[in-house]
Amino acid sequence: MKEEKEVSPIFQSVEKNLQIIIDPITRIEGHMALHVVMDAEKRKISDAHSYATMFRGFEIILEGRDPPDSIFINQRICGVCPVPHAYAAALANDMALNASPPPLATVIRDLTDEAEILYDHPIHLFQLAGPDYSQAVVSKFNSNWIDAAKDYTCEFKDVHGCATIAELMEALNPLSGRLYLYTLKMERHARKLASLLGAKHPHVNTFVPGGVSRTWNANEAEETLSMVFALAGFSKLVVTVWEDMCRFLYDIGYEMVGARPANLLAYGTLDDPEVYDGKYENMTEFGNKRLFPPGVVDKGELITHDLTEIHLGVREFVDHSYYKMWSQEFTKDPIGNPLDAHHPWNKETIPNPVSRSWDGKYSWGMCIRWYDRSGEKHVVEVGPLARIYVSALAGLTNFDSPYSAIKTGGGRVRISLPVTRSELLPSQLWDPMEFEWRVPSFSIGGIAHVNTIERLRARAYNHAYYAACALLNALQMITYMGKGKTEVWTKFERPGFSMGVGLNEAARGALGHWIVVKNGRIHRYQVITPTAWNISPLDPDGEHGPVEQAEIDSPVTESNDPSNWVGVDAMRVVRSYDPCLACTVHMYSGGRLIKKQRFSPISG
Amino acid sequence: MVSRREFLKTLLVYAAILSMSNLPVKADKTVELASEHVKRVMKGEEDPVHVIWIQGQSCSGDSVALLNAVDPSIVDVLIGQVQGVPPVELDYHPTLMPQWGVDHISEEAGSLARGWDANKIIDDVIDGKYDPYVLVVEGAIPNETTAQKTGGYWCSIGESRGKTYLMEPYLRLLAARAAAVVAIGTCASFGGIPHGKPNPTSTRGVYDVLGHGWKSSLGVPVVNVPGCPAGGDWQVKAIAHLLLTVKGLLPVPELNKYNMPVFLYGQTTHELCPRGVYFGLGKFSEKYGQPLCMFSLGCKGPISNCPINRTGFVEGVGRCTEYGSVCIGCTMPDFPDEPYAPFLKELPTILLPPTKPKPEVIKTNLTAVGAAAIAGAAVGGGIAYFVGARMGKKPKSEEEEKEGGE
Ligand code: SF4
Ligand code: SF4
Repeated sequence: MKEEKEVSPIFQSVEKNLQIIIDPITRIEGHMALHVVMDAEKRKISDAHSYATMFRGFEIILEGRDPPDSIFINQRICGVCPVPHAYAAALANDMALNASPPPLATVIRDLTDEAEILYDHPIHLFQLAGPDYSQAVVSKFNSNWIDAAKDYTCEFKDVHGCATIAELMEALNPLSGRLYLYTLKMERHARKLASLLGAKHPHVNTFVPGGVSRTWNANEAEETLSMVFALAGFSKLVVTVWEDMCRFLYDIGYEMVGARPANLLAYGTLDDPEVYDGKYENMTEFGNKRLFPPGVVDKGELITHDLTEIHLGVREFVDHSYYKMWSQEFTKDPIGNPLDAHHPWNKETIPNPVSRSWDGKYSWGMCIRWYDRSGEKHVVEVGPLARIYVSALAGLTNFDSPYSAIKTGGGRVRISLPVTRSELLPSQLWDPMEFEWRVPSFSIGGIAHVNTIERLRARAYNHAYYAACALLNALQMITYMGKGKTEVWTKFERPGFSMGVGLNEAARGALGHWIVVKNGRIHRYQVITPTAWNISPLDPDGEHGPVEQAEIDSPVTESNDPSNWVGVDAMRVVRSYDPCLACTVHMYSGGRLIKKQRFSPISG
Repeated sequence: MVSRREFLKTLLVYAAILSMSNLPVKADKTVELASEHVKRVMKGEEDPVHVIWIQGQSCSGDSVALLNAVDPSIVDVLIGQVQGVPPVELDYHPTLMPQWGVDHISEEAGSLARGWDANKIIDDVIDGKYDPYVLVVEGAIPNETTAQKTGGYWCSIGESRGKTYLMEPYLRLLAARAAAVVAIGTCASFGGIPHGKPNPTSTRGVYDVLGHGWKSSLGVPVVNVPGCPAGGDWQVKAIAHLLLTVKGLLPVPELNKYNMPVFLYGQTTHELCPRGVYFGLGKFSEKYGQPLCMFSLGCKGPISNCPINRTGFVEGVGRCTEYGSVCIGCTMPDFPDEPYAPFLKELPTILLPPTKPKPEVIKTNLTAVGAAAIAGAAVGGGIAYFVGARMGKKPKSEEEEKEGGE
């Protein structure tokens, strides 16, 4: 890797341009590195490349195995977000193995997923990204913020207990801050709920094709309900802390950091137990019934919420990644729609490791893009911001249950959380609260944009959204049990040939699993993770991926002399995407050695 | 200052650990040692033990599970909850540390920026500035020679000043000075998922890289704490034990043939399974979700050493087979391959363990023995019955069944 350390000739003036390699990027999941060029005079990031530094080769390990094994193995792609992987793999298996889960099974799957997000968003906000906004880090690298933080009064001090942003920053200090420590405990409570539902967490053991492998009874349903209430109370803290922090960040002019146009994509998640049947031909219908609907946003406008269309528009490119193009195996999907050669059902992973070059190949991450029906390309980012943005525009999620309510539409999401009394919560979090998230008014040149602040804020509101959904699902669970609908599994088959897809949302955005079964075994398996969308390298047209777009031209706010810059703003931008690198590259295999085995001619 | 209550609590902790690990050391002698130690800690004479936590081919699941631990939690350990336990500093942990890699490649960095570079910690550890330290490894270690043949690498943990910190050589460098090395999770212990057939990156566990007979400078072998992921409580208890070993307060924990501490992994999932009685009676669930034995739906509990049915996973909650999922053998060296996979297919009965406990087990492990012997006896009957039933034989009468158990 030595040859890459040379200063590129385009950057002639060393004083003006500072090149930094940030490796390891810590406080994310996995092994990721970032190469940034900062213009010290303009105080801007002028170039950025993000890349991954570890490979495991899951896809090869999966080939030829019993299809259900993919549910167990794929979870191990990521120990931070295993449940969405288990869920997506289960959806793909339901479809490929012809099994529609009974309603209680879907409810249990949804609740397991919600439990995970109720820990995953806070661990990001308080333990991973949070320290970047703590007094410990800010006083070192943005010391000029400190006075402003002391003067800034928190609107929600009655809820989270911090009178000023300076106090809030102190509460975020790693290992000593009040909020850092308290949130660890509540996150554990959420994983405890995931363990109750999933037998253990990380890596739940209960997801199987056709439902769940969980002996479920009333006593456990009651425990679930109690834990969900406590976690819904916790949401009130998560939202108010980050609402105050985000307002402060706008106040000090941080809005240009990580800015890019509002081009977003979500597959949606949390299936309706009455509608979901695992059938490909019904994907549009069950997609629209999800508590988070699917959708694609182009410059702030929702252009589709049809899950089948979104699915067929997914493309992978390898022009700047260490892979070779594959040959097309399928020309039609199972219901006769044309299937592009770059669609993941067609993809075969052919590693092609060459030396790193910022103009040529530099990443193990694939380039993922979305194409609409007219064939137009969209560079979209995925994540909690995309999820809530789509929901606010689609207006498809509206419920008012005895425990919680969500109303969406017109660019707004209104979330109502009930009284949440719990010994785990300070009494300030007991009162019912209602939050409204609105599509950000931030725009550049008349085009709707998103930024680092909005990614943080959306993550906090997602927590409340998921909590409201969990309360709804818990109520559904009790109702099914009361009606004696206690079946949690239907038999699955191992067919001679079939295709399956599972699309849902991990904490950090749209997640897709694709399976092709031949002779009852896994013929091919592909995963496209949210981080793969976000850290996409350049595409065939030379357009940067979302994280790179967000980094380039982003202001540098560091208060020290450039020789002591550490790239804290670049880190805040990367972390605002909550990257999960294990997810992104671990599906791929590296090294020429294995290539021989992988090049068998494709049949059928 | 330490209150009398805290002081007593400290001793209780030691006593608890001692009872847990079947020590040959006399308890009063250890209590004496421990109280001497507590005095030194209180006077500020005791140096901290450093913990350096590196990640190879991992999913960070063990780090997340680590946060599940309670009494003590990992934060309790780091903030020094129990006075007298050696002060612990977690200096390097990719998911939790505040620092990150900072490598100015266009000009010399200032001291502040250099001081913030995570890679500098690794350099300093190798230079001996963090002695004594316990090296914790999460994730498998791919064989870099296979990647280097083509000029690439499988796994790097950092890059600074023209150096790429490849996992495999850096594991060796860091292990060389370590007082003890702990492999957390099945990947670090045995290779785990990335090691699954056909093992595309020629990856393996820590003790496969260092050598099964390897011992640290203090004479401690690699301690494996497997599980996918390893339960947080198992991790903290294993690490706490080793911290005390490093301080000379406890001997090396007794290990089984896979270097797993016996106080955690002495029994199988099956021996601890509340559904064991149904196994014995030959009552098997036919559908996922039913409350009977999960063997015929794929459970590998009889061949998996795992404490989850005793400890739970998060604050006691979470138990694979009790809750109705199948055990997939996620703690075992051959996971995720046969005989554990296919996970949802029945284990061939020929692979069931022998019906009676081996005599040497009785000699080496006193606490586990009673339970194992009893479980073994009970289970023996079950297997005999069960094998008979599977082969299409008629179920035995109750008396015959009793005989089968003896
Ligand atoms: S086979 Fe599995 S479910 Fe049955 S008793 Fe043993 S561990 Fe429990
Ligand atoms: S019971 Fe089996 S699957 Fe569950 S944690 Fe233990 S070894 Fe892993």
